[in-house]
Amino acid sequence: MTLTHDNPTGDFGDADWSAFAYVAGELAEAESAAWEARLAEGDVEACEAVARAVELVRVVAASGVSETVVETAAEESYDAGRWRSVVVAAAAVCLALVVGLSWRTSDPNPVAVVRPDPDVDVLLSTWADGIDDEHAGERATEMEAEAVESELVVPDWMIAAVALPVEMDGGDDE
Amino acid sequence: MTSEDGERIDPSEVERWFHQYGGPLRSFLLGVTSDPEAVDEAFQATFTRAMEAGHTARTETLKGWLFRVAYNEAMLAGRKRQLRDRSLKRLAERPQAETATPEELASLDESIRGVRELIGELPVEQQAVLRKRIYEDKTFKVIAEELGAPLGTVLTRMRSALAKLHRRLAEKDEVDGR
Repeated sequence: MTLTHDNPTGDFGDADWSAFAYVAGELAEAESAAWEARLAEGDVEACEAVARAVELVRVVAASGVSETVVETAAEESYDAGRWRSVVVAAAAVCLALVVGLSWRTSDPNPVAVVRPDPDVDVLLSTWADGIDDEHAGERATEMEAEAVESELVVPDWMIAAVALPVEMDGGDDE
Repeated sequence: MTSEDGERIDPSEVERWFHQYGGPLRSFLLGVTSDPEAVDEAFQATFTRAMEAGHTARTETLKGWLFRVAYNEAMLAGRKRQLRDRSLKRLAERPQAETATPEELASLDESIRGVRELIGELPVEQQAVLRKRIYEDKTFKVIAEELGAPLGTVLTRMRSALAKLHRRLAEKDEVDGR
């Protein structure tokens, strides 16, 4: 891992600059050919400069990795948090619907017929799928809207109850 | 440099070369091939060649001899692998821990921290060029266009930044007694 510096002053001379340009692919074709001719001859100054350039690039690149990792981790954390919020919201809507439906189905009147709502299955699977479904929030909102809409429909048992004669409505209790 | 029979080199001598020159040779090969896999092949071939013909090398030109052999092996490996274009990103692909001792790793870690600090101390213009060239692997031409600066200015900034980093690492090597 040594930088193999034979120049004690640590000067960054022309050979070092050319070596950097070479490993970075920035030399023109003719310059690159001339440089490679030096390498092929075993020109120690040129060869060592290439080795130093590579080591310098690697240390500089490594010094930026942790920053990148931290930034990436922060972004991932933010994304995970965002998805967690979506899942929690979907779960809350789902729970509200289940409670609402169970309240409606617990009505003792036998006239009431509870049909399984296919949308509930969709919502449950959306909840179970969690973060894989990026439209979970949108779908949950749509389900909620449909649930509100369905509450405006008067059920059959209520119509039947209103149509009953007064005497059957407990009016003879007096 | 020859063994008792005078024909072949003493393997312990090649082992000494390996420890003394292995690091720079690997880096050199990576710079030449830009291909971490070709480096392995050429590196191994270089020391195989050293075992076979190392007795012909003269002590005073040994380093040059090893670099020359390594370059030729890199070209052979490169032809087989049809080397890709050069890229600084690819130079950083290979983990540096492969052949390093714990002491070297600790030293490397220290170098990385030192370089990180120094980059933060560089003038903002130099930092921008350095980051774009090494982290983002953009060419100097593209960087000049992005920054709206002349190419010569961009090159000067990069060279100044590299010179400072190079000096810092050279000082550290001296302190470490290398």
